[in-house]
Amino acid sequence: MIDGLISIALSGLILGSLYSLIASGMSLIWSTLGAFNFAHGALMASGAYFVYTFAVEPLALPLWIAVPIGLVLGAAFGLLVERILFRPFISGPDGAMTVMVVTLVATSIIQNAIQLIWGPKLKQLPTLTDLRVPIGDAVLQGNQLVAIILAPLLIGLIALLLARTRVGSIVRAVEQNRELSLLMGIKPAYVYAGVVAVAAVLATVAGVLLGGIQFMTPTMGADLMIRGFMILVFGGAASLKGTLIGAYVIGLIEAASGYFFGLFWSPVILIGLIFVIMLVRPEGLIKVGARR
Amino acid sequence: MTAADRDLATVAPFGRRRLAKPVAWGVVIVVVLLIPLVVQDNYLRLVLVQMITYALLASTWNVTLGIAGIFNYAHVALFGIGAYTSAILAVKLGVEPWLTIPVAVLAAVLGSLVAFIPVARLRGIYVALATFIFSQLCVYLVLGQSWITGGSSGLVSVPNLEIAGESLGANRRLGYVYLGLVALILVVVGLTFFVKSTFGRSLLAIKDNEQLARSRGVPIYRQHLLTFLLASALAGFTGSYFVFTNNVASTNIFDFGYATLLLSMMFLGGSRSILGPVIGAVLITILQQSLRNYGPMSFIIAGVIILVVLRFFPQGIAGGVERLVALVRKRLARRRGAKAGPADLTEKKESTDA
Repeated sequence: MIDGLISIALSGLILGSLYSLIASGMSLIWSTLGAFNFAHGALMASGAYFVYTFAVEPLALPLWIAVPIGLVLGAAFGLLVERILFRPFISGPDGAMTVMVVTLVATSIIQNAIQLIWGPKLKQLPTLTDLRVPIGDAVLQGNQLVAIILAPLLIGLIALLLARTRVGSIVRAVEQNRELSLLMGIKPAYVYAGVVAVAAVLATVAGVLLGGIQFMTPTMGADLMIRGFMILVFGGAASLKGTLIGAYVIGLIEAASGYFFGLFWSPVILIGLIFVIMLVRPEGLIKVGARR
Repeated sequence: MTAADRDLATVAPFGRRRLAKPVAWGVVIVVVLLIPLVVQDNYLRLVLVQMITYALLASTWNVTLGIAGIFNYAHVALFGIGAYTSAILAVKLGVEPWLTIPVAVLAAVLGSLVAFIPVARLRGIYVALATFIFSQLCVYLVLGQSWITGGSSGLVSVPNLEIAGESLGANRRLGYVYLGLVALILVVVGLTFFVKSTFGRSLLAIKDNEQLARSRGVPIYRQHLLTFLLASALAGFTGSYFVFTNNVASTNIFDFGYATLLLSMMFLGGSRSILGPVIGAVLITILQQSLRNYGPMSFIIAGVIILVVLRFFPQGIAGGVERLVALVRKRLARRRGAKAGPADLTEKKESTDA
């Protein structure tokens, strides 16, 4: 029983870490731009493939070079996505709705482009570390370990930047009152672009981690993005803290229900739970002051 | 149309114009019903059936998304519920295919009640999130209960609908084409009246200004629930139609790609009009077919075209045409030197929309 609990806790932590990287980016985009990014899974997949290009094939650079290049490309891709998919549509009538459709269409474009460029063959990224840490009967190894440590650090760093720095206060100003921030001489367009770029970097990190744990496919981000949406509902979409807590809670619930009820029932239980939460607390379970 | 409206129509001095519309509609319907007689090729008939299915699904989805302004993402899932209900009943239990259709409609309506739970509590784009999650629930249930749904391999050899022993798939699917066309015409004509009814107008009022509508005594939740149920019933029927025309039920229909395709049809055609989604369905099916030999490239080309159209015609093709018509009318009115009253009004509405 104890071993079971340990393995649940560990896989919950791993899932939660990966989820938090995806969900925090989606939450940032939602809270500042006011739209959901349905291309976030595609951003994650493309990030992983960028790194693959430099780390495995055709180039075989060491990871400490390939990953930073991949992150820069991921950020640049994020900027492009903001410019093409968000900026022209978001201010129109039914902006959030149009952005949803547009980002869904973009997902289809990106997934097929990946298929076309990198081919349909299964691929895998090298792991970031070979370290193994046995805990009870279970073993934490490679990217799982990195994910558990890196995810909270990265998101904590972003939260700190948002809370403490001048750039952070500018972002929060745009988030809270766009018109007023315009009057203060802030250019929301830059903030929007920056936020999407940061979210794309977080997605790339998740992609690199996942690409070392399982096989990469053009649709590798879809499942994680769906979890991301569940987390946004669970934690209250606009708060980073709620998102972080939500990611780990969802990860743990998924690990536990998977352990006790099997792989097929765990998502059903998870979704059932989220429906109950939406019914009881539509603003999300974790309340951190209504920001939007 | 209320009784008063009809009286007005008969006494109004514009009798000729009032008559022009129904006549035009009649001509269009007759032309549409003649299409299958022109399209004789087996493969093209298959494409036609697919086109009709898309048009049915897109225009019924638009009831919630476009007409009522509910950010409903669950429509395809409800369509899937209809499809699987029919398939399971016909394949696993050997129920007469025609009888499965009302059951499928009922199942979709029941499913929509579950999907509506969060809709009642949430607002705006959050509803999209909740209904999106509901669709995922359906996928997992179908995949998990493979003893009845066939899991990821789906349900195959679904029997055909038959009339007097003759399969609707016979004569190169002629029966299916007509069943679908009649359903589509009924949906489009029905929706036209629906939008003009008091009920439809109350939906528009809610969409445009929820607070004002509420203060005028419009029961928002009731109207939205009824709209949701109506759309879901039609989705259930379309699911049935889909499964009998394809003879297969598979989880592909729950894919991102399928929903994306339909959303593109609605927005490309124009989600603010009733014919918009139908136009979108026709155009995108043609686009898909003409690109079908290009593999992954076809999705990229189609996607880029959709993005470009949405970028420059945010109201879709129907919206673009409307704007053009309004512009031409205004020009004509000016040339005649008449007061450009009505043209001005439409122009103003357009500019606030944009």
